Amino acid sequence: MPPPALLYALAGIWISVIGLRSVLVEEHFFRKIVASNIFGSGVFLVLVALARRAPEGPPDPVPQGMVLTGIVVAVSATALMLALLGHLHDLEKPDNQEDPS
Amino acid sequence: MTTGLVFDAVLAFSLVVLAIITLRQRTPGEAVVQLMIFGLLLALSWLRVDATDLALTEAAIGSGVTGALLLAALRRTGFGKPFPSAVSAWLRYPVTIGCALLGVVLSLVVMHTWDSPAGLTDLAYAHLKESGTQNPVTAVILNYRSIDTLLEIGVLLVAALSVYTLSGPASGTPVKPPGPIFRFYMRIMTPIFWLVVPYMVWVGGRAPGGAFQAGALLSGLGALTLLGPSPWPLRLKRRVVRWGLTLGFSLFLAAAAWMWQYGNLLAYPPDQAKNWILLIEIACTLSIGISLTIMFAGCAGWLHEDPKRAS
Amino acid sequence: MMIILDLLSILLICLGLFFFFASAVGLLRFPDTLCRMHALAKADNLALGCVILGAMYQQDDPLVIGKLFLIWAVTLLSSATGGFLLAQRIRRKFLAREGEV
Repeated sequence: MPPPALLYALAGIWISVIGLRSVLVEEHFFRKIVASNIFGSGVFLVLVALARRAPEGPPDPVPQGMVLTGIVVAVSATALMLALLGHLHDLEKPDNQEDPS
Repeated sequence: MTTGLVFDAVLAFSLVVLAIITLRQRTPGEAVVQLMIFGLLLALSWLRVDATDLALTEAAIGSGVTGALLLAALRRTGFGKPFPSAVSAWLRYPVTIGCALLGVVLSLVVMHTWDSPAGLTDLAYAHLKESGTQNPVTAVILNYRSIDTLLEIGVLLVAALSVYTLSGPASGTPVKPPGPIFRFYMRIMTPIFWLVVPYMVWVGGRAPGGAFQAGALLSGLGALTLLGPSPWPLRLKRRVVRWGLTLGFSLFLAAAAWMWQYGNLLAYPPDQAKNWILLIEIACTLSIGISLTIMFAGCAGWLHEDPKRAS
Repeated sequence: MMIILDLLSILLICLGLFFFFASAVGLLRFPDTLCRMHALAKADNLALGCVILGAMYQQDDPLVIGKLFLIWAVTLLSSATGGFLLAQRIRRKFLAREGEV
C-alpha cells in the first residue's frame, strides 16, 4: 500500500507539469497567469508532501516554512503580473472597456 | 486506515482533474472561480499531510486573496470574453511531450528517493525550546531561517510598490454604491476582523497561525472596506500608508542590524527571542495587510483616486 | 450518555452531508444564476449548520464550541450578504437589458 503523502507528491508533480505546459503554450496572458498559479500550487503540494515522508512523528517544518514563504511570494508575483496586464490593456484599448454594471 | 487512503487517492486525483478543468475554461471569469475551488481543495489536502499552518495560509492567500486579485483585474479587462485559441500545433506538441517526459522523470525520482532519511525534523525540534516559540513552523520562518522571511517581506514590499507605480490614474471603472445590507454586514464584520487578526498573531506562537494568516485577514478587511461606502484606505494620508507599508521590512532590518552585536545577523539571544518574534510578527502583519490591500486596489484600478461613484 | 452524543453527531453530520450533496447537485443542474444561488444560499448554510452542530457534540471545551458557532454565524452573514449583492447585480443587469429593448 502506498503511503498517502506519496499520492499527494505524485499529484503535485502532475499538477505542476500541467501548469508548466499551459504557461508555455497558451497565448492569452490572463490564462498564463492562472496557469502559473497552478504551476506554483503543484510545486507547493510536492514540498508539503515531502515534509510528511516519515510515516509517524511530526512533519518536517523546514519545507513547510519554505512553502509558507513561497505562497506569499506567489501572490506578490500574481499581483505584479496582473498590474502589468491591466497597464497593457489600458495602453492597447483605451476605449474598449466593458460596461461593469 | 484503508478509508483514509481511499479518501487521499480520490482527493489527489480530483486535484489533478480540477487543475486540467481550470486550464480548459472558456472565459476568464470561469477560470478564476475554478482556480479558487482548486485552492480550497488543495488546502484540504494539506490538512491530510499535517500542514495546518499552510492549509490556513493557502485558503486565505492562495485561494482568497489571489482570487480577489484576479477578479479585481478582470473588472478592467472583462469577465466574459472567451480566450483566443492556443498557439499553433508545431509548438504545442513538442512542449506537451517534453512536459509529459518531465513529469515521468520527476515521478520516478520521487518514488525512488521516498525512503531516504527525512531531512531536518529532529534538528528543528531539538532547538525548539530556545527559539522563543512553540510552533515549529513559526520557529523556522522567524528564527532558524528568518533571513528568508526578511527577504520575502522585501519582495512583498517591492511588488506592492511596483503595483502602486503601474496603476495609472483614472483607469478604474465606476462602482455602484453598496446598499444598506452591505453596510450592516460591514458594521458587524469589522469588529470581528479586529478581534480575529490579533488573535491569529498571538496564537501563532503555539498553534497554527501567525503573521501571514493574520495579514491575509487584514487585507480581506481592507478589500471589503474598499468596496464599501467610504473607502477610507484610499483616503488615508499617503504618509500613513507608506509608514505602514514599510514598517515590517524596516523593523525586520533593524532587528537584523541590532543582532549584529551578538555575532550574527538575526541570531536572537534565546531569552529575548520571544519578544523579538512577537514584535516582528505584529509589524509584518500590518505591512502584509497593507501591501495586499494596495495590490487589490491597484489591480482594480482604484489606487490613485476615489472610485468614481455612480448614483 | 457518550453513545447518545456520538449517535447524534453522526446523524447530524450525515444530514449535513446530504444537504451539501443536494446543494452541489442544484448548483450544477439548475438552469440560471438565481436558481443556483437559491441552492447555495439555503441548502449550504443548513448543511454547514448541521455539520457544525454535530461537531459541537464532540467538544468539551466551551471556547472551541464558541469558535465553531462563530464560524457558522460569520458564514451565514457572509453568504446572505454575498447572495444579496449577486442578486442585486443580476437584477440591475436585467433592468438595463429591458431598458434597451
